[in-house]
Amino acid sequence: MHNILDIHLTQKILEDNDQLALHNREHFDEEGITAFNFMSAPGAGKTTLIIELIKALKNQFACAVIEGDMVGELDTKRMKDADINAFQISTGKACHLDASMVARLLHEQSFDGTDILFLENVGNLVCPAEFALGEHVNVVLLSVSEGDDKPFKYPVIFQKCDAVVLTKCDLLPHVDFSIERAKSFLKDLNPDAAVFEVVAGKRPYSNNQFDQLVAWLSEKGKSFQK
Amino acid sequence: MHEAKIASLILQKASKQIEPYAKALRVQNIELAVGKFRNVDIESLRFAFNALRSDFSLLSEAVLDITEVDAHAYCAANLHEYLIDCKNNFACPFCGSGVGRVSSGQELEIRKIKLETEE
Ligand SMILES: Nc1nc2c(ncn2[C@@H]2O[C@H](COP(=O)(O)OP(=O)(O)OP(=O)(O)O)[C@@H](O)[C@H]2O)c(=O)[nH]1
Ligand SMILES: [Mg+2]
Ligand SMILES: [Zn+2]
Repeated sequence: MHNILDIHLTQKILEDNDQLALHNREHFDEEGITAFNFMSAPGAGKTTLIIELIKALKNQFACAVIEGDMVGELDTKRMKDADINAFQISTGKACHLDASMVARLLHEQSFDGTDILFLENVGNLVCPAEFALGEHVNVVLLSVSEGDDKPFKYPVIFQKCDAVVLTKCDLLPHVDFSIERAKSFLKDLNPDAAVFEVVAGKRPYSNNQFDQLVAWLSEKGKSFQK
Repeated sequence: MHEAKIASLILQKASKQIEPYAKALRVQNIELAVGKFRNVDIESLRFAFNALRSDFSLLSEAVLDITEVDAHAYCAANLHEYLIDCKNNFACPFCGSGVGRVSSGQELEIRKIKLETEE
């Protein structure tokens, strides 16, 4: 005869990642680093925007970047070509950065003296939302060519973030993207999120809020600085 | 796409939980709660779980029982609690304000393991 035993418990599946994220966060806090997690679908303009942001912030803050990509070091190379301190994490088959990848890099590499650390996540609107890294601030980019319904279709990531950056606004005349509709989804889902309409570089757009975004990031940067 | 990783973590966590049971023969069932406000695809998770379970000796016949947990939120303006209907609308049905805080639907946890043991 065999016995059947019911073991009742609450075993969180991602608790190891959450704990490591806390560990990373403590590490950042000790060093006075503000960590920003930049997430978006592939190609929404993360690398381009981070390069522009660092140009605007570098007089005030020492910046560094961790690049998460499944394959290759192309984005890290773009950063280095722009004279930015950048480190690559190759995630292999994983479609997102996780806390252990960041922890490993933090133990190998000193970020001493860094004020602002940008974590560029793997291009994906699904998986990165599940894996905390230890960041202080979450930023999601949505390029206007992706469609204004994306906050509605990917609610988890847009609900969790602190800011949404609508990128490539110079393309608005060419695509059916309603800023109002996107903002209305965001207001339902995440009324506290700051929303910025942005273009990278000198592309034409009359309501470019790049400077407001820089000011917002500086504000966050200062609040976690030692 | 991260469901394979989650399936493998479920198997690892369950193995760890049954370690203290010296007379364990096999796990029959694992009850998993998955919130609807999480990016976990149930079908992919089940598929990955069934593909990976044979690597875990006492779990090779384990069945994954998944309970989906509805998503609720407190609204931002008045803290009304409401069901987040992921089909139509995310706003509060009572006052129209947005999600203030998600109060349930973010679970991803093992709730019960049904273990067969020797007498
Ligand atoms: N028209 C326009 N194109 C842009 C803008 N910002 C970025 N791009 C272009 O969009 C493409 C993708 O930009 P990236 O910065 O590589 O995007 P990403 O999000 O880093 O891409 P992944 O890391 O591969 O996910 C590039 O060809 C950029 O030049 C913009 O404001 N307007
Ligand atoms: Mg990039
Ligand atoms: Zn309400």
